Amino acid sequence: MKKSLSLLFPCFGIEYTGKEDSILYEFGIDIDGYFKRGGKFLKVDPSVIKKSKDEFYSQVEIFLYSAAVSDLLKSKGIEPEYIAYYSMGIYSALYYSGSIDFDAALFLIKNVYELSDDFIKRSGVFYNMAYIIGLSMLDISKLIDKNSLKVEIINQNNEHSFVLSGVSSDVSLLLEAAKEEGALKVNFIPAVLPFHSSFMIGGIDCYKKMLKEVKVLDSEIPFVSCFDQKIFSKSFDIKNEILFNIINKISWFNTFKKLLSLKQTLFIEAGPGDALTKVARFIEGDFVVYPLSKLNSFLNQS
Amino acid sequence: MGKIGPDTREQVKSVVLDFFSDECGVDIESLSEDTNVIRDLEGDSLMFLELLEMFKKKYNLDIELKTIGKYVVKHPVQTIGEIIDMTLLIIEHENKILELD
Repeated sequence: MKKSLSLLFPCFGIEYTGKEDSILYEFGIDIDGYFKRGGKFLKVDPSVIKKSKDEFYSQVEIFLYSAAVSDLLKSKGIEPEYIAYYSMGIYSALYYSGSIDFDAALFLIKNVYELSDDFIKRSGVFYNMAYIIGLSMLDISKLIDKNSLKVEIINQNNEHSFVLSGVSSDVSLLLEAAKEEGALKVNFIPAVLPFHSSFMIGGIDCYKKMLKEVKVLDSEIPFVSCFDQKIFSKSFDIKNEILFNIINKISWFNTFKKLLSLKQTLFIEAGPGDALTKVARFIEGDFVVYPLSKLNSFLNQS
Repeated sequence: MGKIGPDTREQVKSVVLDFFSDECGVDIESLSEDTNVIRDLEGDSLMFLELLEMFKKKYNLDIELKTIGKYVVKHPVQTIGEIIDMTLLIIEHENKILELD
């Protein structure tokens, strides 16, 4: 176990660098094999998953890349002190730790998505997720309250970056108001399920029932919760965390600060893209984050 | 307010060029004030935010991001030269930059 090293698992909605496949091949990882396994489990052609704009398949895609990176890290003997995950990166994190296997991760992704999609559609309400960069939480909260919007701040990435979930029309209004208020950047996230918000609570019984079918083992490496930043590793707590992660707001900012308080100074972004690496630039502290593209640098200096 | 001296523009230019060279993985010699950050370097607003944070610390500036955001919306920047000029205005006027309009 390498002290001061933590793994960070990203979630869907990230921007790929486009170099993920070539990097993995260079390390001898057959990423196509992961897509084949994913396709086999979901009973679809692997090409359906890759670079899909569909919300569900984009979740699957990022898991498959993260699973490949997880196996790569294990093959290199990289064992962190802690594991953290951003939103739905929890499934990749649990796979890495061995708490769930590959098929169980896909089972969770598929069923959480389908159950959520089902009850949201039955509600007859359209939802969206979005982000705002450049305003404070107070600024955004004031805009929400002033306009009586059905939108919730569901995550803080760093001091300047926030993620929201809410009723589509209200999210649009909020983004316009945010731009007028001086936000540097606003945009929708390609997600129509309002994850991490109270709008998801309607599915709670379905999620609990589904979770009973999943075999979850204790983890030898502790997790830091993205929900309340508690440290956990037992299977009972892991199952609770899967549930909390769907229906409660999260805080990546607090999660990362928790890791820093635990004296973590080295981080590997254990998945595609470099979104978490970029987000970390706006967090104060003495640390280094290695995205997949810089994994060689990490390995060379270890 | 930050002080603009005879060397400030060159200092700011040096920081901006180093930043984009490092961020975008390009040779600093290939950058000029005409380089379009979005089109030529695939840059984004997060990079501008990072630069702002750097200059805020370097020059101990009293600036609110949303104030700068309001100014930038009316005066969008795309080239390295425009970013340098904008930065000099921010250093000089800080939160009073909106009064320039």
